[in-house]
Amino acid sequence: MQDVETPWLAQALQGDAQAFSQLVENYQTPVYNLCHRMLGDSYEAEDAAQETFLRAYKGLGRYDQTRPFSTWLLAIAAHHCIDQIRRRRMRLIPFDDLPHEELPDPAPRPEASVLGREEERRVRNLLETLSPPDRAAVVMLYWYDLSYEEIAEALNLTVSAVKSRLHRARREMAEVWAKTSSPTIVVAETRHAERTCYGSPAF
Amino acid sequence: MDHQLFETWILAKEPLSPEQAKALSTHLTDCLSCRQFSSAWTEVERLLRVIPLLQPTADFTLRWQTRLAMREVEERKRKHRRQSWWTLVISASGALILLIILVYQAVVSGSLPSLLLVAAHQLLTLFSLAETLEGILVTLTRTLWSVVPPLYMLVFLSIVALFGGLGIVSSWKILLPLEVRR
Repeated sequence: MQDVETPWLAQALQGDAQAFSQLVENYQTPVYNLCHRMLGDSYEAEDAAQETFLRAYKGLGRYDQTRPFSTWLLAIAAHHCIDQIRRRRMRLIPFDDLPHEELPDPAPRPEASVLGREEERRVRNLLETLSPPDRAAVVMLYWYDLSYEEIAEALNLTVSAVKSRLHRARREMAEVWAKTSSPTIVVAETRHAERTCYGSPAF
Repeated sequence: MDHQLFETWILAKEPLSPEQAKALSTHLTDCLSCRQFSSAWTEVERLLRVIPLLQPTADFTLRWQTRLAMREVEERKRKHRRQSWWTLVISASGALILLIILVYQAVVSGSLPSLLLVAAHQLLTLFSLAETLEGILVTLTRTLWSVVPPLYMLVFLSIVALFGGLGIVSSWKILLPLEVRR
């Protein structure tokens, strides 16, 4: 990916909007996924992802080319989503009033689709229990396989703070799961092939 | 018994040493709450690793390009408004400074009352001139209306309107900067 994006990035840095569009095309899924995991809503995620790319395009001059472009982009997305969540809290809208999207159906079998939605719902509920920076750290670790150093850089934290936040987040999620999991809910163990083990499927 | 230590080991991302793994295994056999916690975390971690990436709806890039174009238009408008505002502020400030200088000079030279009288006289002259001009125009229009056929009059007015329009467009193109108009 790095090799493919380099010429586009070079052209985008010269102010070529078309080249930046190629980068948008390339990174739309990881950025959208991060926004969706952070905000828990498809409309807000779309808006946040679009805004992330706009901010990246406008701030391309500040991009440090020694760092991976993907990490820089995810950092912008994470900060924007954290701000959005804080603003949402300030607006005092109860979460139940927020629209919940119908998740797309990736599986052809109805029973698999139901299980997939159930898993999505459970993951969303788990992530919602975390504070926005903890949520961002969890998403960056488990979906994008960023290192502690990369997460720290993206979220403007120290490595020890990231470790501490991730530990706290894991404990909170495990406790919530232990409290809420019901024996009647069977999570399909073999339905999904595990995402490339600790490798990032996004890039 | 230090449950917190075992909890840390359960949640640890790094692999445990053989001694730690053995101690944890022994503890989990005896402690129900830690066993439940371990089982819960195993499920959560498995779920976090298998859940797929969510995709945006089709034409995401196209929507981004549209949004970028709209944002740029908005920014240009904002820039234009800012430019207009600054032009107004600078012009008004210049006029005010000029007025202050004139008033100051008039006060210093002691000719303020006579200057005011002259200004009032000039204003009255201007009004009477406007009145005379209006009379001439009305007479000219009535004469033309009675002499020139309506068709010719219509053609004449169309040509005047056309040139007027061209004049406005030309002024707009010349006065506004290119990047604001684009």
